Amino acid sequence: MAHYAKPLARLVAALERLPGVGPKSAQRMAFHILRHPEEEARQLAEAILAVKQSIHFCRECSNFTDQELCDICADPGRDRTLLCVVAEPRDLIAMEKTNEYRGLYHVLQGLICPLEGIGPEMLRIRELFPRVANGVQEVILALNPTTEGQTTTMYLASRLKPLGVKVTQIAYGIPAGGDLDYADQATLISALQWRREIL
Amino acid sequence: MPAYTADAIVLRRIDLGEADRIVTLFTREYGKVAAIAKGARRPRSRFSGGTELFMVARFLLATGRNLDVVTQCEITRSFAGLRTDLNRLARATYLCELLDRLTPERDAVTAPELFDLTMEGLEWLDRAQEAFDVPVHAYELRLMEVLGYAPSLDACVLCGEPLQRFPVGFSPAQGGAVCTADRHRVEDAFALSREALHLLRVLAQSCSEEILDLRPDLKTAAEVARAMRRYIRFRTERDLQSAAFLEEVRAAQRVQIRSRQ
Repeated sequence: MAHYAKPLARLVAALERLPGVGPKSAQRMAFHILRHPEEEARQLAEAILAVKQSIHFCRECSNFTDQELCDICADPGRDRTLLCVVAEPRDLIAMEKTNEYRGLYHVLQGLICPLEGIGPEMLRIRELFPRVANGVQEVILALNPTTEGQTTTMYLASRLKPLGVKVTQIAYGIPAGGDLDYADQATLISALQWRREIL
Repeated sequence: MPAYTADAIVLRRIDLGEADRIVTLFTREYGKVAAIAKGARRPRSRFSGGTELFMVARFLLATGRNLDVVTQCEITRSFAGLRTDLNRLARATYLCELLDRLTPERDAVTAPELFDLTMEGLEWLDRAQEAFDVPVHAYELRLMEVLGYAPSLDACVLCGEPLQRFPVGFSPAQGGAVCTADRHRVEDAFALSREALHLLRVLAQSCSEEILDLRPDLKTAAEVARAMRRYIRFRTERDLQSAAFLEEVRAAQRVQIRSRQ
């Protein structure tokens, strides 16, 4: 970084630490910031700081929020007997975009990954159980159909079942608009296992 | 870019960038190989299922500069039973990590034997009923044998005398059982009962059907588990990442068994 002035080198190095940003992209972003008005740079810096200072976990669902309760948990129109467990906030957004689900959520902030040494105690799992005991009738486990997702699903099911709540898992199989011919065997096996009677 | 085909078990995978994955494959032909599966995390990817842990598939790989590239994969065995039971899932993950930790990349000499053994180990786990640690310890002992680390279970590792008085000692550092007379001379030796030593011998030698029929009592099973845990830790030099979660699953299973008794 000897070719850059020190403050510019610092910015390039900071941007390079972002996920998916390589040296070339970091350099492009840094020059973009440098060439544009100071006000824009200030807004960006303030937005980053504001996120770090005001965003925390929702008291109920562990989603990110700037209030004590997130908008979903605070909404009185939500069905409080249904609880959908997702791994990440972005999964919650994906579920919300369906406009089909009107229950509450619980965000684990990750998945159990034994190979990386990520155990249940490192996720927001402990916070789930008191919520389930508080009038929830069904817990829907909506986790990725990966080995980590399955491990977390099985772990949660084994801990939730003794609480006497109905535990369900979302179906896995062929994506909408997909092609059977191109689906791999694991997906097809799962689609067959999760088939349902029609009419 | 020359291409080659290989039958492989997926041992590990790491997400890369937006949608790619780096997979560690244990191939029957070339041993352990790392490869990149481009777009494997997209829902409609042809690789998404085949690059999951302990999937067995026939891979077409292109030789790359740093990493080989997965160009095709066809699943030959999915071990669906391992994925729907936490007891099996936690142990299968441990088996894969153990093989990954103890083998170097591209060692083709022992590859066919290790591949077949791991397939057998996963098969045992898939079929096991309740005594899920029996296949795990049988796999551990056989893996150690192929890699040249088999513990001595028939005679004292120090004096060579047959093991006739019990409890004997078991020393990971010395590589197996030590007789009662020599036990105090070895710092890391701990006691092993006649039943536990017998179970270790049976696990190391029995055929598949016998292994699946074994139902050791809780005390003997716990002794063997402790011996194997210490032996593996000595060989791997630190605990495996998946060992802590496996212990938690084992503890929950023990509580469940006791509550039924």
